[in-house]
Amino acid sequence: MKLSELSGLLGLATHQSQGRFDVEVSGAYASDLLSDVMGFAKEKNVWITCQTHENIVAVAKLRNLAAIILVNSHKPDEATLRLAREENVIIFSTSESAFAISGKLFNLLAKQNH
Amino acid sequence: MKLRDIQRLLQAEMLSGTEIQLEKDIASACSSDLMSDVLAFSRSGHVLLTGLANVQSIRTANITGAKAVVYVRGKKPDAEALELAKLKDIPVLTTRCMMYEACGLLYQNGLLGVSLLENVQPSAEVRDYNSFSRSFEIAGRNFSRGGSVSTTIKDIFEDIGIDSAIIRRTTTAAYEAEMNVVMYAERGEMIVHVTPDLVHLQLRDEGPGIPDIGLAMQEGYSTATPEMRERGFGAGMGLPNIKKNADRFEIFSEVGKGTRLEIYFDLHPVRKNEA
Repeated sequence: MKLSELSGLLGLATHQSQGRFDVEVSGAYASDLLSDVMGFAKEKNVWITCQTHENIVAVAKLRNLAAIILVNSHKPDEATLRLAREENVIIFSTSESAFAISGKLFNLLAKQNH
Repeated sequence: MKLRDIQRLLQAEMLSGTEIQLEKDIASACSSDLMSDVLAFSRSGHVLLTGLANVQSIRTANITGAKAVVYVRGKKPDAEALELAKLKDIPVLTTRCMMYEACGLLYQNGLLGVSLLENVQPSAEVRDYNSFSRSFEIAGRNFSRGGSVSTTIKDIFEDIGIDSAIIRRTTTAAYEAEMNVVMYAERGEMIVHVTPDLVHLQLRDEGPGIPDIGLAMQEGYSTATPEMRERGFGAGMGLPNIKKNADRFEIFSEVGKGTRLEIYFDLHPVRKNEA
């Protein structure tokens, strides 16, 4: 599923739109521990987190992630947005919890594979 | 959904707990590695899914009324966390699933999350209490002891029979305030006053002080170090979380000297409205 389609189906709000929306999403990784994401997230995963500080941009960039989804209506910091724009890291937010948005995305991607 | 179903769906191993506890009904789930987020958004009766394996995960579970903790990605709680879980009678499981898969499997099978809008505080029951006052020392910079004062207060409040909704709000605020002292100050003190009408938490620390309180009160504003963040704190939710849970909240700070918080909770909101 393309990132553009995924964001539409999940009703995500876009905070930083510089980047590739046509990328094929490979799955998702949910974690708030940056070292975990560095160690385990896979390329083109979307990253589900409540962390909003600027370090998330570097992690997304280094791991080649498709996008970041901030949960519980968290908004990215100013510095985070600025950096994300420079680095072409797409950032969304949702009012859903990490649990619910993971669940919905899991269902969407599972349906697609059958 | 029963805890047994969760164990089966996630092929989880039980590290602590009993067969009887597997029959517990789990109402909702909360998945996070940031304990402030759990304190802000979970509702009691939930299962906590986390990758944070230190003792703060169990303290947070205890304070938010979690019925079980499941560690993801094959993580196991450290010895201190496991010991506290046994003491507090919280079943502990570990699964090899990643957080995302664990959430997906449970959601697919009908377990619900808690959204912002649903997360309203239930109204409190009216009861009478004896007055009570006690002071607790908080050791600054000691992460592994961090939260122990708040869990002690929770036990005391349960003993004197304070309404569970109020216990949750008071101990959530106490925990955030205590962790602020642990993270930023050399030492501090929490004084707890319970009167028939209110709970008053007073926190004083010898710390760096807060230069701009308005800024510090903004959600998401944080001066946390990477270490604090990896321990599940420092997401800039602490002070806003305290304010959100309190009926009245005051903060006084002097740079280079320290910070004092005055946090009040009404025990009889209904009675007051009638008067």
